[in-house]
Amino acid sequence: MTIVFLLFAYVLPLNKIYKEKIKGKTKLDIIGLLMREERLSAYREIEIEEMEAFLKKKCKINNIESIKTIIDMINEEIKDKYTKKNFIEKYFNNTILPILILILTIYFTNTNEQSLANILATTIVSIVSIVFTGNFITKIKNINITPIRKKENLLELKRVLIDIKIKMENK
Amino acid sequence: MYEKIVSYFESQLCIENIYFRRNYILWIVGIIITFLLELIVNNIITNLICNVWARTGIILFIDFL
Repeated sequence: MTIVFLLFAYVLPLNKIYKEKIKGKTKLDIIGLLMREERLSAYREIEIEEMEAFLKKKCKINNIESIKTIIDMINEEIKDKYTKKNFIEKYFNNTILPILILILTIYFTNTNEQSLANILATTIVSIVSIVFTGNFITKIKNINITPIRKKENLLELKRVLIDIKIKMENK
Repeated sequence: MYEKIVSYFESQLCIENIYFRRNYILWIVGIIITFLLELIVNNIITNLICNVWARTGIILFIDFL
C-alpha cells in the first residue's frame, strides 16, 4: 500500500511537474543510475538560468563576492541547523547536568539510611531515563510529514550558486 | 537578501516544494487514508490467519506494497 500510495500521490504528479518545467525530451539512463554515475540533469540548467536572471534583475547581484557571501551563509545555516548533533552534546550542559547535580545533592544529603549501591542505581536509572525521554522528544519534534527536505533544498541552492559563480568567473 | 534568495529558490525552483504547494491535500489525505487502510487490512489479516509468522509476513508484505 505504501508503494502504491507513493506512486500515485507522489511519483506521478512530481514527474508531471518536471515535464512541465523541462518541456523538452529527457532520457532515463537506467544503466547509469545502477552504476550511480553523476547525472546530467536538464533541470539544473533551468535552475541556473532562472536563478541567474533572478539574482541579476531582482537582487541586483552582479559580482562574484556577493555570491560567495551567500554560499558562506548557506554553509553556516546547514552547519548550525541541519548537522546532526548527538543528544548528550546538545543537552548535557544545559539540561542534564543541573538535574544530575540536583539528584546527587538530594541523595547524598540523606545518606544515613541508604546504601551506596542504592544511591548509584537510582542515579543511573534517573540519568538513563532522562536521556531516553530527551531522545524521544527530539525525535518527535523532528517528524516531518511533508516530502520536503530543507537541507537538500539548501544544498541544491548552494550547487546552483556555485555553478553561477563558475560561469561568472569564466566570462 | 539571503532570505529573499532562499525563498525564491524554494518556492519557484524546488520541485518537491512546488509539488507540495499544488498537491498538499492529496498528500495529507493520502497518508491518512493509507494509514487507516493498512490498519483495517492488518486487523482483518490478524483475525483470519492464526500462525504468527505467516501473519506477520503477509501483513508486512501488503503494507509495503
